Amino acid sequence: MRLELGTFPVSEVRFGQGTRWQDGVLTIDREAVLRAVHDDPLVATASLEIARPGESVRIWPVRDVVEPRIKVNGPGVTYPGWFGRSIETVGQGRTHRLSGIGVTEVSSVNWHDAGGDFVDEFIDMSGPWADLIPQSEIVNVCLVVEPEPALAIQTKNEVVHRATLAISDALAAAVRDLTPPQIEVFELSPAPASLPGVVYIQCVHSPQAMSHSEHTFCTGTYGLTRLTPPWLLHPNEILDGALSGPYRTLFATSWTVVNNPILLDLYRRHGRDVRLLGVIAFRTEWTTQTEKDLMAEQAAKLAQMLGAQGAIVTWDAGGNEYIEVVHTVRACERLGIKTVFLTSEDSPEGGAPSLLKPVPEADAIVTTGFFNTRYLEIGTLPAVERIIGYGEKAAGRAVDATVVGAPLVDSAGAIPPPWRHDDHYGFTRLSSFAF
Amino acid sequence: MISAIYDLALTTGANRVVRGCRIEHVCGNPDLGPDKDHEYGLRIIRTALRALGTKVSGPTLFDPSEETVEAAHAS
Amino acid sequence: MPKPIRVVHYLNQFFAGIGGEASANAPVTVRHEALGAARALQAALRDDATLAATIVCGDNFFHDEHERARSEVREALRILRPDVLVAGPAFEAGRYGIACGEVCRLAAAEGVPAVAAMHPSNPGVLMHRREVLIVPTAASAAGMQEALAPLARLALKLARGEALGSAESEGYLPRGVRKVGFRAEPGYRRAIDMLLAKLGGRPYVSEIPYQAAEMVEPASPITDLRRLSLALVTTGGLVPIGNPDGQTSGNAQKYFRYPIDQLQSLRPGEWEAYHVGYFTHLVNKNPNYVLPLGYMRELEQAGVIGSVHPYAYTLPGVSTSVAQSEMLGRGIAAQLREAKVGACLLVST
Repeated sequence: MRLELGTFPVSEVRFGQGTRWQDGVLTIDREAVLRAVHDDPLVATASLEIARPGESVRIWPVRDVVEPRIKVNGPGVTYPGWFGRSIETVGQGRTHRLSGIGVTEVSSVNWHDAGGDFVDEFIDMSGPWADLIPQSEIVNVCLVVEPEPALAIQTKNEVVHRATLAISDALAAAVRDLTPPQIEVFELSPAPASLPGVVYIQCVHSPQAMSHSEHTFCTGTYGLTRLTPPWLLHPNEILDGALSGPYRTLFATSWTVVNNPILLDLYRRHGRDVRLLGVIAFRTEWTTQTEKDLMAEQAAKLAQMLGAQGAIVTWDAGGNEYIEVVHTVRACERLGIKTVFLTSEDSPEGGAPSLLKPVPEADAIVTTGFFNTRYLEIGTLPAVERIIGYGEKAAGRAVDATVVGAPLVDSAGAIPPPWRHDDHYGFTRLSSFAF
Repeated sequence: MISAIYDLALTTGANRVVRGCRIEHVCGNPDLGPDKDHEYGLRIIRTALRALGTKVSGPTLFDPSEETVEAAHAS
Repeated sequence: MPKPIRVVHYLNQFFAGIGGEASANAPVTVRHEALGAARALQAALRDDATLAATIVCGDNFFHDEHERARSEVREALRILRPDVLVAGPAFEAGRYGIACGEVCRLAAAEGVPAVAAMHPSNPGVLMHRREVLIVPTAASAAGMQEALAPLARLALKLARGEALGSAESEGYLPRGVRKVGFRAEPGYRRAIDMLLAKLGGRPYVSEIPYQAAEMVEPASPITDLRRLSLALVTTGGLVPIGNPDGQTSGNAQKYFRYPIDQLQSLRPGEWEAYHVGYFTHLVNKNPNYVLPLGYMRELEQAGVIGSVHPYAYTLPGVSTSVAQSEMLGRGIAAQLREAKVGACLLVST
C-alpha cells in the first residue's frame, strides 16, 4: 500500500467568489459550498464562519474538527464508510490535504439521548485554553448547523456530520487537481530485520455501551461505531480518514487522528529506527470482564502474529475503559512485546494513585497530565470578543445540564475551561510530576 | 461486593467479590426473560451470602455459576 | 558574611561508629561533633554547611524505649536548633529506617526541615513516605558515597528554604503528590523514545511508577446468616424518581440513604439511576439490578437471613476520586457499624 500525500498549506482563509487555493490562501465561496449542505432537506440551518489563530474568538459547542482531505486517485474516498460513503479500503494512490485548517462542526445536537454523554468542548483561538489545544493553531472554518428538530437523535447526528463532510469534501476539492507544494510518500517499505517490529495499538471509544445502540454516532472505523473486535489497519488507512469521527475531547477529533504525531513519527522512523508493522484499532467500553479481557488478549495476539517486538498503546476515553486498555498493555508484555503506554491521569487528590488500576507490567508510562482541567491550574478563561456558535452554555460541566434549571452562562464570558483536556496522542508537553 | 468488572475490585482491596452479569444490569439479565432473570439474580445474591460466610485470606472471587440451585428455605 | 548553615545528623549506633548490634540498646546521645558517617556527610557538604552535632541512638532503644527516645531527640533538637536535620542513610535496616522517618517528623514538628535516606524497600518508606523527604539509596552501605551527594544537596536546599522541585529532578522518593507541569519534549516523542530505550535495553524512567494498591484485612466470615442484619449499598447512583435530594450525576461529594423497610422490592417508576457512567435505562426498568432488595426480601422471608437493614445507601460512583471514595466509604461504614449491621452488599456499576 503506497500513498502519496500532497499537502497544500493554508495560511489565510477568506470568503470570496469561487472556492480556490493559491499560494497558501484559501478562498471559500460560501454560498457554493453551503449549497451541498442546504440540498439536504433535513438540514434546518447552516452557516459558515472563520476563526483564525490569535483572534479573540471562542467556538462553542465543538463536536468535531475535520481536516479536508480528498482522494486524487486510488480506491475509495477519504473518511470512508460514513452514511453511505464508499467502504472500499483506502490508503493507496494519492490523497491531497489542506493543512493548517479544519472544518469545525458546531451544533447543539448531542451524541445520543440515553444520558451520560454530552458535547462539552469549546475552542479558544487565544488565551490559556488555546495554549493547550492544537486546534487553536489552525484556521477553523466553522460549520454552524442544525437539523430539523423532529428527527431521531441518530438521524440528527448523521445530518450534522454529513454536512461537515460535505464542506470538507468541497474545500479539499479545490486542490484535487493542483500540484501540491509538498508531497510525502507513505509506504511500509521493506526494512532491515534488525530493526524492532513495532505495532501501534490505538484504543478508541465506542458509544455502544453508553447508548445501548450499535448506530450511535461517535468515532468510527470505516463509519462503524459499534463494539467490534480489534481491527488491523494499515497506517495509510488512517491517513485517509478510516478512523474518524469524534469522541468527547478536542484531542479525539477527526483532525487529531489524521494528524496523530505518534502515528506520523513512528511512520517516519520506519526503516530507520523501527519497522512499523501496522495499527491495531481497539474499540473500547466493553461491559463485562470477559469481553474486556478477550479483546485485550486478541489485540496482543494480533500484535504477536504481526511479529511485534514493541508496541505503543494509547486510548481516548476514561473510566472503566481503562481496564481493557491496561490489560492490553499487560497482555502484550506477557507475550514478550515491550510496551509503552501513553495516558492521562485521574485525580491526584489525597495522594491516591492517579491510575485506575495498578498493573506492574505497565512499567513504561508516559503521562500527559491530568485529564480533568481542574488540576491543570488553568484558572478562569478570559472573556472573548466573539462567539461562533451559541451564546449560552450550562455552567461548569455539561452534565450539569441534566439538572433541570441548571444555570446558563454567557459562553463568551470569563468561564472555566471545558472539564476535559486529555492529550490522547501526546501532542503537547503537558505532563505531571511526582513530588 | 458485586461487580461485572470484578477484576478491578479484586486488585484494589475488596476481599469478597461476586461476579455480576454486566455493568448495565449487575444482578440479573433482562435478556433471559423474567423467570430466568429472577433465578439468575437470586443466584447472584445467594453467592454473595455464601461469600459473606466464607473465610478468605485475601481478595477472592465468587462465581454464581458455581452456585447450586437450592430450595429457598434455610437448611 | 551569611550565617553558616548548621546541620544535625541522626545516626544509629553502627553508623556513628560506637558499635554494632550489641550497642543497639545505646540510649540517645548528642555529641557536638561529626561522628562516623556524619564525617562523610560533612565532607559532602563541604564549606556550605557545618555539621554541628550528631544525635546517636541505638535502633533497639529507639524502638523499645519509644517515648523516652522521642522526647530526648526532641529536646536535643530544641537545644541545638539546627537549620536542617539529616537522618540515615538507613539502607535496608528496617528499625533504623523507621526511626529515621520518625526523627524527621519530630524535627518537622519543631520547625526544623529534615531529610532521610534509605532503600526504597525499607519499611520506613512505607510508613513515612508521605510526610518525610526520603532519598533512595542502594541496599547496602556500599552505596554510602552515592547516597551522600543528593542527601547533602537536599539538606542545603531545605536549610536555605528553597522550593523543592519534582521527585525525579531532585532525587527523592515521590511522596504521593502529583502536580501538573511541562516536560521538555512532547508526549509522542517521549513515548517513542521510551519505547526505543526499552527495546534497546537502555535505561528509561516511567513517568508514573507502579504503586501497589492498599490491601485490606478481610473481615471475619458471618457464622450465622439467620442472625444477620444486612445492608444494601450501591455506587450506581440509584435515587427516588425525580432525584429529590439533588444527587449529582457523578463526582460524589456525599452519599445518600433511603428508607426501604416498607418496601418488598424496588419498583420501576419509583426509582431512577442518576449516573453518567453507564447506560442507566435497564436499571430504571428494574432497580433491583443495582439494589437487589427484591431478592433480599425473598431470602429474609424464607429465613435465610435475619433482616435487611432499613436503609439503603447510594451514591454516583463515576468520576469520584479515590480519596473522596475512601471518605464516603468510611462514612457509610461508620453508620452501618453504629446501627450494628452485620454485613453489607455493595453493588457497583
